[in-house]
Amino acid sequence: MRYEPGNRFFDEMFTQSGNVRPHYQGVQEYIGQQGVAEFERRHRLLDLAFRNQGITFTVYGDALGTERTFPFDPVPRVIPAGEWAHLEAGLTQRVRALNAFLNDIYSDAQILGDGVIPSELVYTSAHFRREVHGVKVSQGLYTHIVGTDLIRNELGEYLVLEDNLRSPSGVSYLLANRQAMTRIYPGMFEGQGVRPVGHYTTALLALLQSVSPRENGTVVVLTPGMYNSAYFEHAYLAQQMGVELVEGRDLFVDAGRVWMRTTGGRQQVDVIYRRVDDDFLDPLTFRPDSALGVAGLVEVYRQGRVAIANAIGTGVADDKAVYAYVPDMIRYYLNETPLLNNVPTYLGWNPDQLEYMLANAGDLVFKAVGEAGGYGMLLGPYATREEVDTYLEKVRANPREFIAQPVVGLSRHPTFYPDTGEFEPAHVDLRPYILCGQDVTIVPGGLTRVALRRGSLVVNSSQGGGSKDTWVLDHDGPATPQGMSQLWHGDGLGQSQTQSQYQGGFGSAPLGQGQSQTQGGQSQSQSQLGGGNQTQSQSQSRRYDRVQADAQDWGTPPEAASSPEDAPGQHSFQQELAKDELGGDSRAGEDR
Amino acid sequence: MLLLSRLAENLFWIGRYVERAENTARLLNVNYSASLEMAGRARESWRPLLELTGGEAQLRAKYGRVDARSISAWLAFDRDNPSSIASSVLHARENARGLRDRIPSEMWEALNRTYLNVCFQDEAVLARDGLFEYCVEARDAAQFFFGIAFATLPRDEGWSFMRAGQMLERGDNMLRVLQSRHRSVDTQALADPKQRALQDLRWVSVLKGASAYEAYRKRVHVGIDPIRIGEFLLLDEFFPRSVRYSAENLHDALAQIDRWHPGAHPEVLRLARWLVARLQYARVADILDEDNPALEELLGDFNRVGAAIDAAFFQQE
Repeated sequence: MRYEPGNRFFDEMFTQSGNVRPHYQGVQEYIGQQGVAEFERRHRLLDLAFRNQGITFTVYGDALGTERTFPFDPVPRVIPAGEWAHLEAGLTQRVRALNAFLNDIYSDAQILGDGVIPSELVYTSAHFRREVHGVKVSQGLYTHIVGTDLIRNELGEYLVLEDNLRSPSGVSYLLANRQAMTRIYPGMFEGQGVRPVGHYTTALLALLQSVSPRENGTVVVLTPGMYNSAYFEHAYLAQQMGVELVEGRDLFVDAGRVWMRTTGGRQQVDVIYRRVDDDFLDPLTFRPDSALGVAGLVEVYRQGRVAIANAIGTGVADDKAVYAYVPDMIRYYLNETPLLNNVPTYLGWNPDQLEYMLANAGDLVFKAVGEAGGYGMLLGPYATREEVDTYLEKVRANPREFIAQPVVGLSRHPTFYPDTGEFEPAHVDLRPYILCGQDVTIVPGGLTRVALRRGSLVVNSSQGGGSKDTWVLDHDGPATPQGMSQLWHGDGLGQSQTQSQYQGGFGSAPLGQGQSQTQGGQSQSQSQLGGGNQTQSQSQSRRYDRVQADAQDWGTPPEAASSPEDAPGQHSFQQELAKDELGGDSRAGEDR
Repeated sequence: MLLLSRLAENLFWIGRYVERAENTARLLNVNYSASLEMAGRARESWRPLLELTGGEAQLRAKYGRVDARSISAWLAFDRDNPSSIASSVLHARENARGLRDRIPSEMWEALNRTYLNVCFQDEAVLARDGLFEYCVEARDAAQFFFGIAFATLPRDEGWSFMRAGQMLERGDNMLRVLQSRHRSVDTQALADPKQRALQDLRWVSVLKGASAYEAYRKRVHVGIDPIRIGEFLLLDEFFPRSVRYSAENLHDALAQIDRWHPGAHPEVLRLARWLVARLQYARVADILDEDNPALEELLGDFNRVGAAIDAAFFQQE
């Protein structure tokens, strides 16, 4: 394949010197054998398949075709086992700390008492819900489903851009992408050691059932309705789990319990996986004008007669100002060193940092703390003088509501452009989906979003963004021939069985098998780093160490004085990862 | 096994809308083909179709003329016409979207493909002589959809609601066709052989509009006789688009629903049984000559069953 990686950004597939990274060798060979014409033909088949299946998101304010397919690029993003192990450990640590934080602030708030996080910051967050203070949530779980946004900077270090703790969406695209890829490019997977993702919905159902207040409780998915931008996902998850997809009008509260209306009368509901924002859940507690919610739901929730996932009030922990303190939460609750770093963040709330923000606005990205979807943002390096001035007015008026971050140049990935028939670099991010129950389960994969508009750093689908299939390998590459790989990996037999099962159609494999296999694969890969792979993984982890050392100070918001001059990425592009349809369903709820 | 009221309603209406799309496509296609050979009489041959679906005033206001072309566009593509093919498919698909987690993906995909193919067309189809293909596509899509349902949809309550919707729509539609055709029979003209031939052709169209022409020929050997055609389409025991057959199947679907919650809604079943009884015991002359019961009355009976279903299952707390 012809491709020019460039050297300004980290390229996922090629090294600076232009050599393919070992874990991408299989993909490169496959594309080389296929040829561009065949690759293109199948690309069209993919489009058609998505269109016919109605795998779409809703574009608001567009009269005719309100549903669009999510553009899909068939060059997969590949993550080797060693890198994934690092991400898995880092994300697990992070969601555990966030969950501990939420438990804490909705009860004794010790972390605030100990002065680790300023209490003012927490209590002034728009997403702090005093209505649920003191509620005993089932199993102590607040954030059942998390979709963390990761980016890679110029050095290839993974950074957390955002923790999405309310109702992160996009997982259906992850699953649909894999299904489409295995159907249309089956050959690309052969002998690659790609770990399956299809057990997500089974694991999700098990998690939801585990928080039910009653034995064998009834689980439902609550959607704002079919005009919501993420409706496809709501329906898809309900279908795959075999539970009812309900709207607010299907539910009612009576005798201290939640019921759904059926043709056979009422039926009690025990667990609600809600894809409706807090504000709209219960008109008696939150917005009285909400037609999407269920009157009286919060009271039943308070009594512990219904479980809600994610819990009410989780949004306080993904407030962009609170985000800056997640590394401190990890140290405070877990007594561990954070494995994944934040993007350095200045808080308008802190007068010293505010001063720095105002003085260096031209080099920074500003964000409103409660917003998502790229709203309320300012890209310093690209804004006009007037835009900056107008924006800073707002910042000065209400500094708590703003943060600023240095510009980070997102990593790039080879992407097929049908118009030129060429592979060109495009910026990507990564959103893995984390299920946080008694154990933390992360399906090996994620949604890789790609900024398809040339040169664009916006991966948002409304801005011409698309997605890619994301492969997590059970080795660090290169892929060995099938037979070899089986010998190499010990129980290769089981591996290939699982593999073929998932190729037949995901969701068909029983959880027990898929998961134990997954875990097997995991431990395998970690103990398997022998021979040539060893070097690779060592250099890999050395790089992390170095970057972490560099970045150690970033864990806490830097002092205003600490010059970010030497921060990598300072002079390059910004990443803005706007996300409307992926950021959560709240905006959509408002639009209705 | 339980079924959300909202989903039961969606299934019921999906049955109605897909059936409606098919019926309209069939009628339009037959009428269009027939009218090609009757130059100058377009108005006469199109009027009953318009009476049957309604909306003449709107049509006139929008197109400024009532002719073969405007009526075709109105019935096929016009989303302002709630019973056009495009509207029916659109509504069916909206209902299916609400059921995506409930119905097999294949059913959804079939309907979604149809939507993409038939709901974004306009008069350009007429300009390129594409109405025939358009109607055939819509008809085939409906049959394909019900075929998938037949093969893959579990026979639970949901199936029965869809079936009830389909059968109610079919019986209702057949009655309307007979009503409009019956009204336009010109007994005076029958003496004139030329007029007679024309009338016969119209009745053949009625049969073809219900895919009943071949079945009628096999069953009734006296030829094109309006009374026998009426009898066949109203009361035939075996033809699956006759009013009687539709009513019987509507009743059966409702009886199946009743089995999920026995005796909960006696009124629904009572009305359905009453309708079936009328169609089983009435003679064709009673209906067409004596108006006992009149076509309007039978139509009213169908609608009462529909209203009872709505009240019993969709509106309850």
